[in-house]
Amino acid sequence: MTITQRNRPRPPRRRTRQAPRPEAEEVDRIAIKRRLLLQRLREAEALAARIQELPDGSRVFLRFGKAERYQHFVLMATFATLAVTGLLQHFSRYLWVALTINALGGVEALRTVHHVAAVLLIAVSLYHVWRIAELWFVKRQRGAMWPQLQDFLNLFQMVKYNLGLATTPPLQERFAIEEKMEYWALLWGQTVMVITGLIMWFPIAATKALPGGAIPVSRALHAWEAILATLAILTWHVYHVHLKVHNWSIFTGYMSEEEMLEEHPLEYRRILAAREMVAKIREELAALESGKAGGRKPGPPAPAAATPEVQTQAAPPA
Amino acid sequence: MNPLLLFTAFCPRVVRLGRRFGVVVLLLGAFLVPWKVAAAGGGNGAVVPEATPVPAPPVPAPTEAASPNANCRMCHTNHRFQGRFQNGEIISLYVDEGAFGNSVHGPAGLECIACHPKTKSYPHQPSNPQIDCTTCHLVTDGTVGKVTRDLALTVDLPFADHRAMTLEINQACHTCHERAYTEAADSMHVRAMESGNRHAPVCADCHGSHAIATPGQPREKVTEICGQCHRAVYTTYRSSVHGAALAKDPTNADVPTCVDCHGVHSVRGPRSATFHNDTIAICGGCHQDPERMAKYGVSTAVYRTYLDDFHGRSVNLARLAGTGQNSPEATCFDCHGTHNIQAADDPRAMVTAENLQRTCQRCHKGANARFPQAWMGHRPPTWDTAPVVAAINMVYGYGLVPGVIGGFLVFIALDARKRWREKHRRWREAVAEAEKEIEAELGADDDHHPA
Repeated sequence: MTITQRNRPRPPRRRTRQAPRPEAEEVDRIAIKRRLLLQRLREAEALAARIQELPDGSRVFLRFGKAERYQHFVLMATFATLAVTGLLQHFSRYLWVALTINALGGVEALRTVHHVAAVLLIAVSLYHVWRIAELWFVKRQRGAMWPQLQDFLNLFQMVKYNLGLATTPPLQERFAIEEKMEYWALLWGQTVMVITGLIMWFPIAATKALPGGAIPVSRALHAWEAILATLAILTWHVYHVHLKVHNWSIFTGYMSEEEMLEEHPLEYRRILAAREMVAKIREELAALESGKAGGRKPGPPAPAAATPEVQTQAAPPA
Repeated sequence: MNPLLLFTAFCPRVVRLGRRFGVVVLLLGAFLVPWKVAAAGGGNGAVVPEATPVPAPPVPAPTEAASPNANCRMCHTNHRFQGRFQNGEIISLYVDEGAFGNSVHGPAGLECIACHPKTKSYPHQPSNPQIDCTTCHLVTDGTVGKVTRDLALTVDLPFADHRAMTLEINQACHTCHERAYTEAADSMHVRAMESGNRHAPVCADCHGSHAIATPGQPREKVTEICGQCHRAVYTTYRSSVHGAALAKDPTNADVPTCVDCHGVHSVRGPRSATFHNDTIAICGGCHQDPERMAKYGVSTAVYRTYLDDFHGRSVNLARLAGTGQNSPEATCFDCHGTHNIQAADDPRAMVTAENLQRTCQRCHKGANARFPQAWMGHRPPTWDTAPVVAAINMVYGYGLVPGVIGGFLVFIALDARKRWREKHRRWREAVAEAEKEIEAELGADDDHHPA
């Protein structure tokens, strides 16, 4: 998972009894500064490492790591399988659908395939949830998919631009609003699908905890959600990554410089700025080390402005 | 005769045409007749009682003025005429002429030998040594007397027992009723016979011998005939909702008798996969019919809602596949019972609120008391029957799906339009720029100025 947001300090814990504040002289300010600088260095290096120079001199940008690519591949394969095998069952009252089902080996075989694909999809979803949990609770980051006010403003800006009411399209971050919408819709839809699907798959176990009416409700929800998800993929997803431009980055992992400028200009700037910052932070760290070696006493901290804001959205291009 | 063909024959225009294209009309008729036969024969699983067979009467050869059956009558109208089988069993050889006359074969003019073709001579060949002239023509004081019709007479029969005789004589049915015979060829009964059970029913066991009546007159009789052997099933059936209605009105054409579900001659094993899958069409055939169901206040939605549900879909697909693969999902009789079927509000029914859990448990082992609530009772989801399902259908069907997908499509259309325009604007700008540059290049060159 890519690091895009700088660490956000947790809100201060409210204390009823204030602990005695240590004297300023006791705090090792140099150590703190060093730690913060190292952290920033790691983040900047990670960002800068996304740039790949090709032999012909052009640059490509890493967009999706191996984990994301594999997750997408499994999701794609299982989603397609589930949609085909599930919707065929749902519309089996039409004769041609019924004949197709029987040509594919009968409804029982179709159901088995559906269940196997469902298990795979649940597994990849759990893996994703685990990665998110790691991001949240270990790395203490929100992740680039977290929705923000700016995204909704971007959406309005885009509609305005498309209608001719604005002169420029919105500048998008790592994940544009189209992508965020699809991600959250998928997250919601898949939660519904997994829960309702399991209720239908294990009705006897489900009714141990739920009223019997949950099963027909699950059936209705599962079917409608499937129709909605499939149509959304066929319209939204197909338009944005196949028709508008053919975006291969989810398979290759890389995006060309032109594509980055066109689709994710803010992230593009951030990556280039980070590359410049790596050297600067290194210099500062070296200065810190030499000062320490010179027996400098812990003094007042270096001004915070000395280290530029690397990863906030408003970061100006270097 | 095909009514279409008859109609064409009376149509003057067609008759005029017919004079010129008579052959064409005849050919058309030749095509229409088999078409009609095919249309009448092609049922989809729902069994129709077979129409009364109209056998072509064998052309009698009246060599004598008397009835061709007269010879037979001489002995077989004798009440005391008996036969003895080889196992010692005695059978009356008396034939009730009145009953035969009222049977379907009587008015058709069938002779005795039509069904008893081996008994052509008199006395029957191979000649029976027990019978000589004096057996019947009593010798009284040296002179041949009159025929004595009520002579107590027992002759030995060339059959091991009664069943052997029935099976032998039954072969004669096939000469006229070829179709029924072909249909029955794969039936459960014939298979039982082939596997060595000589008591499996043949034609005469259900239809009778001399007093053969039109089948299903009244319909109740069908159930009684089957009940002769299938006694336990018959008793159960008589107490079911179908059987009770038939008991009330023996001519009731709405309720199924045995043959409506099991077929007539082609009666199949009810445990076969195809019977299990075809059940939905058998029950659905009547339970979809609004006219028939309205008489009894039964909903016609049962079939449609069943097909919309998990069980129905699966069974219907297995049925369409026609591979003889048994669908493990429940068909009508798995929940409602077979011969013991009762109205859904009858306390004896398997589907009442009290009995439903046990019925579900027949397949769903370990289903608890809440499990049967999952079943919506063949009711389409409405605000009264299943409000949550109805709400989901409404929210998604009228709100989310058209709203979200429609919104997507509008957004996509706007985006595509803008992109298309931008592309062309950039192209126009590039052309204008190139024009300007070339114009500037040419400006220095006097040769290219027209003026």
